[in-house]
Amino acid sequence: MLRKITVFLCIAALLILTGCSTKPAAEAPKPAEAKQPDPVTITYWHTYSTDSNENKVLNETVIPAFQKKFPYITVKAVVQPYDDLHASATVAIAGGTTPDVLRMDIIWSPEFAKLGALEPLDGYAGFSDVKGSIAFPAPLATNAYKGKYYGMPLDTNTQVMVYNPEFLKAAGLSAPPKSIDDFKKFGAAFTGKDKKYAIALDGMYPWQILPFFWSMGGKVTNDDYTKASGFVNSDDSIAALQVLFDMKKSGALAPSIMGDKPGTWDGYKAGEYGAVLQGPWFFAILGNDLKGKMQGAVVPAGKAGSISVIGGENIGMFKASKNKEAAWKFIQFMLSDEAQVAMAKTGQMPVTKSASANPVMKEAGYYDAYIEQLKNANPRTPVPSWTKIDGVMSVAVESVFRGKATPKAALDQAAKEIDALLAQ
Amino acid sequence: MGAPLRAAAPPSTARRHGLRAWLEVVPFLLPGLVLFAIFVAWPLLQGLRISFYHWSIMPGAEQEFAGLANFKRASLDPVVRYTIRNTLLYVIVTVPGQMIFGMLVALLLNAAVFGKTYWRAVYYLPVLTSWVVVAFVFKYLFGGGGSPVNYILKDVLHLLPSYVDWFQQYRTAEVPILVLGIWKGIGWTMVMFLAGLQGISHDLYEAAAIDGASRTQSFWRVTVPLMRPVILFVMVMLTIGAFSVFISVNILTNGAPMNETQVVLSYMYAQGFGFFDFGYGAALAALLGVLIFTISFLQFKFLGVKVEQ
Repeated sequence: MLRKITVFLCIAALLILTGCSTKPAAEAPKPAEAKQPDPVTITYWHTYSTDSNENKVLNETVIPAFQKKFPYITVKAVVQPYDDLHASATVAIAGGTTPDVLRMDIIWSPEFAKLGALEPLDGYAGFSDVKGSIAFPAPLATNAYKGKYYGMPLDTNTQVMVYNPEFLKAAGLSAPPKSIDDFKKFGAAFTGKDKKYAIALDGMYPWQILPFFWSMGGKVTNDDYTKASGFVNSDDSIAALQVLFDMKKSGALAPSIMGDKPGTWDGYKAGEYGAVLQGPWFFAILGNDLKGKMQGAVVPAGKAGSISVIGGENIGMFKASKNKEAAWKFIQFMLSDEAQVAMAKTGQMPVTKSASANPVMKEAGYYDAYIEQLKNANPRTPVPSWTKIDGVMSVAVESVFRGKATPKAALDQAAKEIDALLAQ
Repeated sequence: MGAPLRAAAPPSTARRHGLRAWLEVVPFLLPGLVLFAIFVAWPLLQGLRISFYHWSIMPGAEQEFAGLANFKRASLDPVVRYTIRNTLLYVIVTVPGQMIFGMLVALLLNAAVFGKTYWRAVYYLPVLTSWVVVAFVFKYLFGGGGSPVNYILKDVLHLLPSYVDWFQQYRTAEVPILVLGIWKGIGWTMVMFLAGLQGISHDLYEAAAIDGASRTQSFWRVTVPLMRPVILFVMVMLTIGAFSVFISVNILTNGAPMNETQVVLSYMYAQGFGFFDFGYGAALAALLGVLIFTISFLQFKFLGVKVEQ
């Protein structure tokens, strides 16, 4: 099949080439209004899965709208699996075959910027307008590296608690637990009996752990992101990890966190889990199936308040792009209301002030808790070595959950390793 | 006057002869040598070079020389200890495993009267399948809860008191990795051994039988000594292959839990492509290269001596 297509393309290319070359140069007069720029094609890598609604809207609404505005620019959108993007980008950077524009997880921006693979955007026409339109400072900050901006936020999100109202009722609660102490009581009501667990998490990595860790006063580093000792292994951090571990031991926290089946989504659908910690896509994808069975609420507050973790993606261009002006126009367009609102309908939260205020945000019906939570949400340590720190934190949590280390020993070890990574 | 000249002539003609022979051979060697240089030697040297740098993959980037820092880091990294333990375990278990089962199947097929081609194809099939595909199949087979393997072991055979979460702890997570490694390699060893078995003259077995040798005796006294070159070759190839285990680990566990199932190459991949730490990854690869070279060399030195007569 592939070979057939290749052969066809080769023949087509030959025909076009010979067709062009046989035409005398004089017969192709340039139109009088030669202001129309030469046609260019830009490649856009993103990580929306092929059959997702996001991908559909991107290809059927957003990109056609852009091409209508700039008929000389063709946008070729390429799906990259999220888990492989690091490797694909590595090969592309080393081989000089990078795409023009990249949508990347906000945690990767500092790493790509440090590598020197991304183009600083500060000098482009209209940059300050674009930067000024961004509503959320934390996602914006993930693009900054050594005083320059190597991208712009494209979408943002955070995670909130999603409760099954039946569980709340069974526990005698009229509203989701507001504090960690209330949450512990909720947890005590469902400890695995009859396959009912109070809460299920996807895994032992920071994305799922940090909201509880932070809310209970835990920290990964100091505020300047230069030191972990005394922060990640502070008394509050150790106590926070202990609380999570106790919930695991009591059975309130489902075994899904260790990678067991059913996973959080399947278990929630099956009515086994009372609460999960999920992003807005959880509502966008399952909303129709689970009508009336999902209630969003901010993370239960501990001594530091209710703090969740910021997710989302940045959009940037590679330094090796040959069509930087067109790429910049595309980035600008992706931050226009038109594109931001269209993507908001798929469960992707906009980043600009005007799109955030758009009525679509109310119509969706599930953004309230997320908008509330975004007021108190931290980014994961925005340093180039985050990918490694993420691994160190995951191992620390895992070694506690598997009974290999006490919270103190695990976090002391993590502090040592993170200090070394921050010093690089 | 003429004598010294004539005396000098023979070596010179010999040299010219040799040179001409070389010139005749070179065109045939050249394509192979060029390909070897471009695709094997050059990347190998380049990889070695990278291991001495804090290497940046940006084309044209200034490279920071690291000296032996990457190697020093490897010697202190606790995960490297896991990777060496696991890689050695993989070699020690899967190489004999593949050889024993491969030999058994080869003996059966060699004695088989009919269906030889059919069974050979059946046993060779796993070799032809994609590592990626079978790794995913094994991941499914060894899943938690009532996965097929758990179901058979507990509910059918009653060998286990309860279901096992295979990938949740180091000891059990190694099982699917090792079983997959053996299962997938049996076909190749079988084909190699079968070729060797068919090269042994039937007269020798007849002679042994006349001398009163039992079947077991003729296996150990006739088959094994004559198969020695094949066995050695298979062992060295399997050892090299086993040291390079990567895809199955990457897909089945990806190092989990807590990097305890990481092997050298999966850890190297994680360092390079996960963390952009190509210098460190290359250093790990270089260490593995030295290890493989040493072991292959020792295998030939201590097991190969008696073979070549």
